[in-house]
Amino acid sequence: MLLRTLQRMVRSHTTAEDLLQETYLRVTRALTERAIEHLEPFVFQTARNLALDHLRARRTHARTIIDDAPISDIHNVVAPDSALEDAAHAIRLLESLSASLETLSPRQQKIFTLSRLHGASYLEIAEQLGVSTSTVQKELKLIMTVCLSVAARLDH
Amino acid sequence: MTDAQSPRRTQAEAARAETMDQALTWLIELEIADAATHARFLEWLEADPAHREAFASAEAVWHSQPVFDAAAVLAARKKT
Repeated sequence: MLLRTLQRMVRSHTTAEDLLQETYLRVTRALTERAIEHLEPFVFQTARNLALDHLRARRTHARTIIDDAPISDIHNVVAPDSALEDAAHAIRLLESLSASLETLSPRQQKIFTLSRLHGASYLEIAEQLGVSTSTVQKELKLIMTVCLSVAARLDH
Repeated sequence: MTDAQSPRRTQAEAARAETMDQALTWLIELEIADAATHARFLEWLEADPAHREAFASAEAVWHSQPVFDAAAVLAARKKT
């Protein structure tokens, strides 16, 4: 839905792709700064604002070409590019992951960030948290299961 | 017909879950695997196309950018 709106607004799949990447970055940045209660409208609004900014800039840049979208671009609105799908999918996955990981225990969250963000080894995590490495491995496996089920849910 | 199919489907689902469980164990193990363990992993991987498929999809998610970013989001939130 987000994808279609962007493509309809900018009428170019490469531009829509850039805008989605930028949306992804902005949403990620915003999420690190604060919790966002209604994530979906926020993502949508961010993408929409970026598209409007883009259109405004393009209009002042070259007033004449705005209604002259090439046939190939219009074609791409009908057949969305897979890279675009990927970017939209990444945003949805990040949203869902953030929501699900919030429900983990504080210790599981710590293990997850130490492993994924800081690339800490099982031994380093175990020492830092005062638990055994087998506990770290068991918890990580559980967290993997959470991530995978979030991803699987999105694919269906 | 539904009655005859459902136990079989449950069985297939159970087998898939079991394969995924093994894939996750390997994904964890590989990080600290010695040569012998690595060889055992390759054996497991070759044993069944379903093994390869499960491992690939688990690895793709676990090493994906959204998972890394979700960790960054989580870490930043805990600080504030």
